[in-house]
Amino acid sequence: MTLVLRADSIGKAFAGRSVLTAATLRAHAGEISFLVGRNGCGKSTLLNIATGALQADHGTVTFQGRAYLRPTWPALARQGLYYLPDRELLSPDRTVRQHLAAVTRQFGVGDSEAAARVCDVVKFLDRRCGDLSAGERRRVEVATAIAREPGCLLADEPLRHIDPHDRMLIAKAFQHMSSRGCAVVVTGHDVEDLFDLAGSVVWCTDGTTYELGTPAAAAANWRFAGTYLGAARAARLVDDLGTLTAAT
Amino acid sequence: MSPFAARLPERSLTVALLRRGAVLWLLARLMVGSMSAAVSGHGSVGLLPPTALALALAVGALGLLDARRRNEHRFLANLGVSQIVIVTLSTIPALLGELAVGVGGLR
Repeated sequence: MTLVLRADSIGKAFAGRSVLTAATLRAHAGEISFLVGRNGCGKSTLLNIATGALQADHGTVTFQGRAYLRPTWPALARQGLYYLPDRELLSPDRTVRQHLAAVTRQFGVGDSEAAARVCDVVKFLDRRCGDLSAGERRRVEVATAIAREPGCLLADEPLRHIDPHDRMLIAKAFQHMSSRGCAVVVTGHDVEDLFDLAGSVVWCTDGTTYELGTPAAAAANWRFAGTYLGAARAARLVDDLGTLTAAT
Repeated sequence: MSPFAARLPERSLTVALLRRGAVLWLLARLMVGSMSAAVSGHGSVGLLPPTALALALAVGALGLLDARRRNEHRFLANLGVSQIVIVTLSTIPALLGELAVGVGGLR
């Protein structure tokens, strides 16, 4: 699999408190990676650094084969990176159609109507984003990502505060992007949903990251299970994932 | 597309940023004019070049703050548009306006 994004040996401290010491994030074309860890472990910091929204104290970011010591979000965006931060992305004054059209016109790629259909936002294309619910806004944000046709999508807690129906739509949208060769990295605590979605799991803890492999391998990892999942949940996940694997 | 053009937002967003820069400049000008009238008793239109430049840069900074207030800066970043470009686009109408006022004042 082609490595699209690599954030290597990343370190970051805030006001003397070290959050990341030697964290690594890799995103492969056509794969969905799940970056998981406890609150405050540095998942969002790592994503922000990989995007260029935040500067690391040390480490490098390589995107599409080019290494950056101090990447910036707009520079990486021009090269094909799209970032869905855990805060609002859309302007409340603009309509859904205006956002989608801005993306397709900016880069001369993508089909805004098709992107709207994938995320089921066609029925409110002409509504202002400020008038939409949190779940609808999140679907529109994902639709803008699809319209961009990026080489890599980083999504910080995309399923937080989202109802099951919208979760399913967003998960399908990520699978749609991944099937078209996009490298997708998602974070969050919605372990059941994201384990079903992801091809690999990266655990962020103690300032560093561990590549745990497939979701089934992650659920069976005793240290991850003991520290993050909890024994009962890990056992349930191993059962669920085993059943899923057998069924497919 | 030239490297500079690739850093600009698409046409409708560029026009919106330029229009907002013009409105901010007009408001700043009205404020400066009314302050000048309050201090000296008569509203002066012309500004010394350094003051005019400082006003234009202040308008650029206000344009960036306005884009952040409208929650546009993250979306623009995903379009490859940096904050420096937002400041520059907001500053252009103010610079042109100050130039026009300066040339008009000299005549």
